[in-house]
Amino acid sequence: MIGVVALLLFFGLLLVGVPIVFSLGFASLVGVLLLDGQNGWAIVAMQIFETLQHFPLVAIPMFLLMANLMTVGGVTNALVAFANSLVGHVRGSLALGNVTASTLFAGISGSCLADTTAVGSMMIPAMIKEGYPPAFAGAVTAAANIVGPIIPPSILMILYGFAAEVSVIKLFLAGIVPGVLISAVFAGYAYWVSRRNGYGSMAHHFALSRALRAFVYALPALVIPALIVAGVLGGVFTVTESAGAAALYALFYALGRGALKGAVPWREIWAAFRQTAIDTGVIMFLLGASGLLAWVLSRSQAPQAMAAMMQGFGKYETLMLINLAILFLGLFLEPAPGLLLCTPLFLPMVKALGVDPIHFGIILVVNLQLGVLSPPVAASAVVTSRIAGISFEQQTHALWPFMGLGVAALLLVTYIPALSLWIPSLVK
Amino acid sequence: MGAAPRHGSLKKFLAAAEAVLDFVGTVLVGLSLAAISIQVFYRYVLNDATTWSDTVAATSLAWMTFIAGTAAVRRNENIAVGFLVERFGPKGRKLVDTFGHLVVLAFALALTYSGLILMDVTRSAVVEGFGFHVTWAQFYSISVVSGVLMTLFTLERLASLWRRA
Repeated sequence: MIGVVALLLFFGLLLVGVPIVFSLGFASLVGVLLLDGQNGWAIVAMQIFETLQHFPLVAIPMFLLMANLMTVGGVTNALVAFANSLVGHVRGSLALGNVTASTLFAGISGSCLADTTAVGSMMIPAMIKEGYPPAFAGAVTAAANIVGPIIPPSILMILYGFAAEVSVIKLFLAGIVPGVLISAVFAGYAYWVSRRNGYGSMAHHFALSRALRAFVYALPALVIPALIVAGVLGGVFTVTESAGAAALYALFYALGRGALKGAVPWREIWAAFRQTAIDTGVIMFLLGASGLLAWVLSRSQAPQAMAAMMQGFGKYETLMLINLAILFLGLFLEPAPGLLLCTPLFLPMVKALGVDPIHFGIILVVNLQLGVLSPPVAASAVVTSRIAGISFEQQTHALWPFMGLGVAALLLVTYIPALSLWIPSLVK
Repeated sequence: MGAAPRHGSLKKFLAAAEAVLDFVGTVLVGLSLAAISIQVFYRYVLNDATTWSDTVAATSLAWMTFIAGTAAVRRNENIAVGFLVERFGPKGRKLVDTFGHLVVLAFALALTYSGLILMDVTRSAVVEGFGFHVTWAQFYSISVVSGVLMTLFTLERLASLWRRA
């Protein structure tokens, strides 16, 4: 009962615009005090520290730092140029290049909004100049970038791995096929629409020499996901160490690129470190507050109550109901808090039904990522509508076909576990 | 007459506190990177294992979270769901914003009090793994610093909200 009170209070505070982290913190505080009275006071700070002080979580600032430093090194231009060299010879090339660049960018960044801003600020103006409708250009960018946290490395997967106590590297591997599948579906739709409406032109004929040159420029970024996965699977690094190594590599990349150009961008490098601290503060404080709510939910036996409510439903019906509940939550919540809320609530239930926790992690991440496209919050649509110079409503309207395709992909990921579990099953 | 300079100096103090938080948070990112890099370097180049790097990196993360999370309060960088309150008129918006600040204030005060209790309970317990003497109370002190600064930043935002009228 107290768990329900805390959850209702959380949603109430959320709706009146209280920042998510303080909605979580305050609702949990009330829950802790109702459960433990005066003894609860020490638990508040203690539980936040308990959640935060774990070496594996240091991977989060390290991956954020890597992405920030790679951007300082000019990696966005290199990836976009490489993507265009691959698909620039077909109609709708910029739309396809946008999806391809976003997929490649996902390999160096674990954050959807960072990817949307980085790729969108280059690709949306270029697409509009080529005659694509601004709403379509923005929609392609917003949709394509939802794979950022699905393809490794991924901040959301690290958070889920921590909350569910499962292997992060297996989660990284499990995200590859669903991420590529979603990208392929979106690319196919973007190509079909562009061809049907005559959007864009063929930028150039395919030239192997151009593709190879672009590949060489993009190579420093393209090797990162491979290095991370190979380093961990080869027993060279832990996931956290691989994140640190990737951040160090990105630092040398930024320094090296600057030195080659004759001016090391010290100021930008400092700004990348500062931005990492800021992003980490926002994400990790959320994690700390979620840890407190998870404690309240666990102490008040909310997952058990939830499981009792779902009794009588089979595995597939339960997964469908959970997907609907998460889609609904995703309308209001950013993926990270959504994930931290849903994991303690739903994971025990699906585990009891025999669903692999790695598989459920992928379902959760794919589902919550669809939320960044759907109003009323739709964070990605906010970013792309600003870049494209259109209203939020125009942008979300153009996103509906992508949402429909995204939901279809979610159903495939939910009901075909092999899509997620095949690659992890190949490693011990 | 004296109120304006007092406000000015308080604003300057809070701006300086935010700048210090930013600086320390940035340095802690570097410290985490250094700790992990040294850990890998020791293992593969010196064929030795460090005993402190895990603790330093994890502690830096906890401190970085409180420090950067506190600075985010002053800059209003925390994510909120605004679609409903954006439909309110200026008066309604002001009331809702005031309520939101009061919730943050209550949490900040609770964090301060909770941190003080935690410090009191752990004042003689020593953190293992640093290589030098650090008590858990010293480690947990960041929650009190964070709570106090969050309280001040929120009061500043509340005052600014009501002055605007």
